Amino acid sequence: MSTVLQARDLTRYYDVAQGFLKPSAQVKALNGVSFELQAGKTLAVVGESGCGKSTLARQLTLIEPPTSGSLLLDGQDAAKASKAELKAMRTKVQMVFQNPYASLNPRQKIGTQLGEPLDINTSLSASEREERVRAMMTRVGLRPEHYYRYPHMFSGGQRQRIAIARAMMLNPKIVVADEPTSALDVSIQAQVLNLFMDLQEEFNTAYVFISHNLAVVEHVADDLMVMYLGRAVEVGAKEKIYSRPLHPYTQALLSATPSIHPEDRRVKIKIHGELPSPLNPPSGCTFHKRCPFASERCQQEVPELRALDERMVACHHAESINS
Amino acid sequence: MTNANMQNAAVPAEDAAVNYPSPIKEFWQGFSYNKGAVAGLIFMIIVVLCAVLAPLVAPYSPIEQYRDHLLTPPAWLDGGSSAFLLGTDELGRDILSRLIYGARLSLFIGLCSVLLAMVPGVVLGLLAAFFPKVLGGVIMRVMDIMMALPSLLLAVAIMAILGPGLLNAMIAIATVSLPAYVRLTRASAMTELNRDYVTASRVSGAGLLRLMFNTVLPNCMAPLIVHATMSFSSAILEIAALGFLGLGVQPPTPEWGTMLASARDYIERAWWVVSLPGLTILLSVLAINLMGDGLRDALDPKLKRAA
Repeated sequence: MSTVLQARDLTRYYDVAQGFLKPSAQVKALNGVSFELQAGKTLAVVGESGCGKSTLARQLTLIEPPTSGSLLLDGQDAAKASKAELKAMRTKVQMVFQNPYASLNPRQKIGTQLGEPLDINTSLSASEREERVRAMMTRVGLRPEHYYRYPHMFSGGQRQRIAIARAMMLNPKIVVADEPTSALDVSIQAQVLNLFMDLQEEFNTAYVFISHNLAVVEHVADDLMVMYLGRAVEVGAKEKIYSRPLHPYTQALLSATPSIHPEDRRVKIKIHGELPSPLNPPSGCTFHKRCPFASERCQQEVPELRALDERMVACHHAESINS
Repeated sequence: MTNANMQNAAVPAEDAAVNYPSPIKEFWQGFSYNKGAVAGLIFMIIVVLCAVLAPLVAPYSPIEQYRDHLLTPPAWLDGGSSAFLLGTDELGRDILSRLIYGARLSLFIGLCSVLLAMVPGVVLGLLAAFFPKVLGGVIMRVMDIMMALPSLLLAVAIMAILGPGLLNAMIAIATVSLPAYVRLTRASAMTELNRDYVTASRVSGAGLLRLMFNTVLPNCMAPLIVHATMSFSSAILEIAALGFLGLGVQPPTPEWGTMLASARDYIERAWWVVSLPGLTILLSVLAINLMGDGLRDALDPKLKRAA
């Protein structure tokens, strides 16, 4: 098993203007996230809106450089890569977006759009490109005549399949999927997820699957990373975390998943209040203002991720809460 | 029965896959769907043909003065003569011939000043949208300064620097109308830049030029096409204004705007001297606007009927 992606202490801060003559503030969108991803595996990233999931996606796809921390793609450090190396690295990470209506260029035919990554990154002739595009279209379940159509002629599910095909054109090592099913209706979600999994089996691609739908995550993920306000609070194998969440935030998240089987229903843990503003995060453990188990220590000391029960968890009281 | 039905159903689908219309045919289908655009196109083809074949089409020389026939009304009015179909002007020149010859210069001026403004305007606008911090700020502030000056005054000032002449007049007019293109392009490019498909293109490794002209620009074309067709007419009129100040086209060269401007003294006595060039400008501008609408619709895949 080879590691294709290794992130160490990734941070990303944004400067935000606060108004005329006021100093600009800093949003710590991503505040020290580390993880590893193996080839052919899926890492799911979950968390509520504003916790830094999409910022993480932007770092992983090299759209933006991280403020600090290192990102190793296939053993190569993105921060130290030259421009040419960076261009080669780009082809290894592709992305599938949340909104299939905005992620396709409305003025280009499907065939042209799918061929674009090949046009940029390979020296294939036009007819070879067309052949590869058509093969990929068949693979994701599009008909040959769709080659000449424009995006607006497709339904949401078809568009998402086109977007997946585009991400897969270069046979990337990693695909970052930013909530790929949240804009689709439930009957289509399953189709798209199955397509994701079939392609993973075929091409041995690693996925970073960003979602807030825990049922979807349970279906696709191998590993799970739960994020809260720019930090990972619990990282580990999916089975472990789903069967016995240790962090109070993970517990609350999982208990919020609805289930039709009464025996599967968990005791609902309600967390109060809103996600604090990332402009002015709480001291100590960022979760302490909403945590039912918070103590004096949580207000002062930032909990680090530590190994516990075969996963990593960032909570001072993980043992006492779960014993 | 079912078998036959299925076969029948399969055949057209396959045909559709094989015989997809070529881009030109597809464009023409979209364009010809708009009847107004086709009418505009036909009118403009006639005007362009007249301009190109002016020596063959025009009954007289545009600068020859028939001193016996000053201000003759058009043929269908009392006192009109079939020798001068649209009448003559204050110096006895045949208006029809002058309009035909004038089309050469007027269309050329309109086209050139639109192109001279649009090409740099689009490039500057895209640069301003792609580099919003430093370069964009500089470009937009310069454009604001240009917009703050009255357009004709600025054109006259530019003419004063460059010296009189047709080419310089076109450059002056293009410079004056530049800020509008820059602003339009920048505004639409900035909205497009935040879309996911631009990010997707970036992730697949597209360079700056491809992003600018291949990914973003086609999605910004609708307002640009409309504005270009509109500024075509104002270019003709502004050239006339410059000519009136002695800076643009010099008499006796026939040109629609100059004809309009120089005949304004006769508007009460001989309406045709003013109205006919004005009507020609109006019709051409209308035709070009209709064509522009058709062009915009034909280039927008969303407005095409589903193929």
